[in-house]
Amino acid sequence: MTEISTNNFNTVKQDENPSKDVDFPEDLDDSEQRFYKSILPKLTLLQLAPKEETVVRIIHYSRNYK
Amino acid sequence: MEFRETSDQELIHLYISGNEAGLTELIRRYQSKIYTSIYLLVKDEYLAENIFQDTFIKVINTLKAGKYNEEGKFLPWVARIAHNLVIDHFRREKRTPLVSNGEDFDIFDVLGHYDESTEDRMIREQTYTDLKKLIHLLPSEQKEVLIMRHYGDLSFKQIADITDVSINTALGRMRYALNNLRRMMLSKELLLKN
Repeated sequence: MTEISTNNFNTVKQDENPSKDVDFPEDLDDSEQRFYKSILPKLTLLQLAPKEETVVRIIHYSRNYK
Repeated sequence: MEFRETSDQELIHLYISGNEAGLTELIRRYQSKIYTSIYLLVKDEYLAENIFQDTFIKVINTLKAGKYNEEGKFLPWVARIAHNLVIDHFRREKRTPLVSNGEDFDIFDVLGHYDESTEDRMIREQTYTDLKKLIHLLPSEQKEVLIMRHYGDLSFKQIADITDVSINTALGRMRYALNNLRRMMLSKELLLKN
């Protein structure tokens, strides 16, 4: 049976290590890179989630796709 | 069904082969990044919900039609669709992304940090409010690069393609965005100290 639960849709999954996968171009100097790294957790904190009903509508659209 | 170890490509294949749970997991995995990148650009909760929905309807249509290009990563592809829809919206409105305020929306109604002390909650709220305000103060092209880079996981080459500028210009905008944010944060700290 297909899982349809959307219980977690209004929670925001925080990156365990928000600085992972971040490549810093050479054009950013050391102090810019340090600053960017320093605000990464705050940028992650800014993450929002759409309403559950929006996600449910998307899934409903997919299931009824002809 | 547990998909924590399943790659995006595997989830896409599951979905294309008829397993709706593949799409559900892809949405669960990336909904915050995509929604946030839309919301920070349009600054309107209702509009962001609509664009988020339209983004995934395009994703579904493309996947179901067998037109998905497997060479790219899933998140940057979706982020690109979302960004194009935001641009389409502003073109229709014939205005730049300055828009109405969504200040009545409180992230802490959604996040649910139930175990926090009052002090922790106040600090967290202040941090969120401050950074959000500072990001909104950035010129739109700088804000756009910062958001696409951080939430959309787009490379500077991809950002340059989407915004129709050179890679150096995209990089330059990122530098300006970071330097402006740093300057604003420093001046805010100085104001608080004085």
